[in-house]
Amino acid sequence: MVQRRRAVVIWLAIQLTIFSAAAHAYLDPGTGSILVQSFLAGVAGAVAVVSLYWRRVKDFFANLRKSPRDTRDRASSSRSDGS
Amino acid sequence: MTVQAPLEATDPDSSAVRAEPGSFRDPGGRIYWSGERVLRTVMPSAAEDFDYVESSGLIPSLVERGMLIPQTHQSLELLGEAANGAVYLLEHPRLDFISHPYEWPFRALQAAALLQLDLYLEAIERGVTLSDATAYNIQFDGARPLFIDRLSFRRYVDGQFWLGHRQFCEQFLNPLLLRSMFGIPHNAWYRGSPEGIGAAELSALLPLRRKFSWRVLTNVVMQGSLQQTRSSDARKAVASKLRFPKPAFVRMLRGLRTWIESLHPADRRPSTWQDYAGRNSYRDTEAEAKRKFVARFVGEHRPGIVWDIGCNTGDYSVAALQSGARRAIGFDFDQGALDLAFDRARTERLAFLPLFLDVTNPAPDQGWGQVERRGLQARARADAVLALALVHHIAIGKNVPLAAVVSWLTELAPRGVVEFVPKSDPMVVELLSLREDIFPDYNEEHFVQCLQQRARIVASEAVSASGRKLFAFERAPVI
Repeated sequence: MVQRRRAVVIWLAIQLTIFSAAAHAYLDPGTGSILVQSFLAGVAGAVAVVSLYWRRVKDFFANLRKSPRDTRDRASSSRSDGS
Repeated sequence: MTVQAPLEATDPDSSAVRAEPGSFRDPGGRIYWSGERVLRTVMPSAAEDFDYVESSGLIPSLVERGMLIPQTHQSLELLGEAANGAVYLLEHPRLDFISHPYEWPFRALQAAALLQLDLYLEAIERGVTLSDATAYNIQFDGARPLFIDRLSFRRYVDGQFWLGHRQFCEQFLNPLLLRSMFGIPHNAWYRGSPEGIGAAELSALLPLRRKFSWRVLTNVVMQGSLQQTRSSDARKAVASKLRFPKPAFVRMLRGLRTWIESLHPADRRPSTWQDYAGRNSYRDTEAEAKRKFVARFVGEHRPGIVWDIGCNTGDYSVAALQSGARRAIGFDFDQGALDLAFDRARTERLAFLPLFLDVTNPAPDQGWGQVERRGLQARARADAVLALALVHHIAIGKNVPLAAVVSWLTELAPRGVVEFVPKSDPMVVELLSLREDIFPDYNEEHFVQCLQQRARIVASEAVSASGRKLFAFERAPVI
């Protein structure tokens, strides 16, 4: 179970981050720390994606709620534009 | 493979170049001593990063604000053959005292952690990162933390991982959490494990409810459990494919900074000595008489560095500083008193650093070759020692023979002030209240004899009605 969870985290980490960065250092950063950072990078990426689409999601729901009046407004405005 | 034995300090006055045995981990350069001068080499492998950091403008800005030790360029000829292919040679001012994180009180470790994070945050804005995050790279000027390793600064490339994260957690975060979550001071554990406290170890102590905090979960629990990952495929993937974007790095540093700044010791009640001055047999006049005696002694002998053993909240260190001492290093075993002393030094901007010390078990020589982290005795460079209200705690509280106590104190510095508290004093009565008096030799006459065997008594004064007495001594010069 624990092994499986670890595998999922590692898989996620690899999927969510793409290319490499040069790092030459004398210190061993430790597997735990690197995997945690990969996870955090993934979370940060996910948050960025969500916030990017958040507006659209909000608009989508706003439109759903307002849709009847919006249609009427749009209809009336197109009429006035046309006149 | 042969391992070169660390070079031992021979004659401190000689100008022969010797390598500092504690400086070997980073092949990018190391510290050398030339007599009393502190020199740092920069090797070819670190030269490119060194030039890059110099051109970033970061270094002078940090030095100016007292965050980083100053540096001057020197000729490599100073090192002679020891230069060994180095490309640059830097000189740093010699510090009055090197302290170890396991001697720092909670507040000092916290201040050092915040400095380490601030350095990262400032550096990254200029395209610079640090190659490590070891607490041994930080020393104290009074209560102000000072970073001492110029070579830790390296070029930052966007996407690089925070290589020092694990070390930061082990050497700063986890020891601080130990005290702030459980009320357990970090000093004993840290001393036994000079690389710090591991995430897995701390994680094992945490009750379940503690593990649900995001910060604890990521920095302690996850790191601890993932550290056990043995999969070589995972390691390879990590080494070649992954990146840690700069915004995530900065967010992580800021998050840790806010967290660490908010930590407090979780002590359930004030420690024994925290309210010492208020509670015990001290009277204002007695304390005043002692302060005056110390002030007169310091004014007369002008010691540069004063060690105050059993400093409590630092009253006599402050008296010494006000009378002209350049620096006071205080030692005490009471965490509550040390926290107060550190806060006092910080608020009043004193050249006073209070440190944790159990006099009967000082920090030993340890680490690689047992010379990497020197013990207290090896770092003793005090011009004067103060030991007020101390001797009875060691001689009666810990059964150390009076002669041995006096011998230890007089070896710490060539002169000093020591207080003798007689058996009739309420404090000693309390010490003996639950035990048999097995100390027939504990009296002023014997104390004076012991002191005179090792030093000349230059002044003495009774400071309380109970018979407490201060002695100023001067060690006989070694012939």
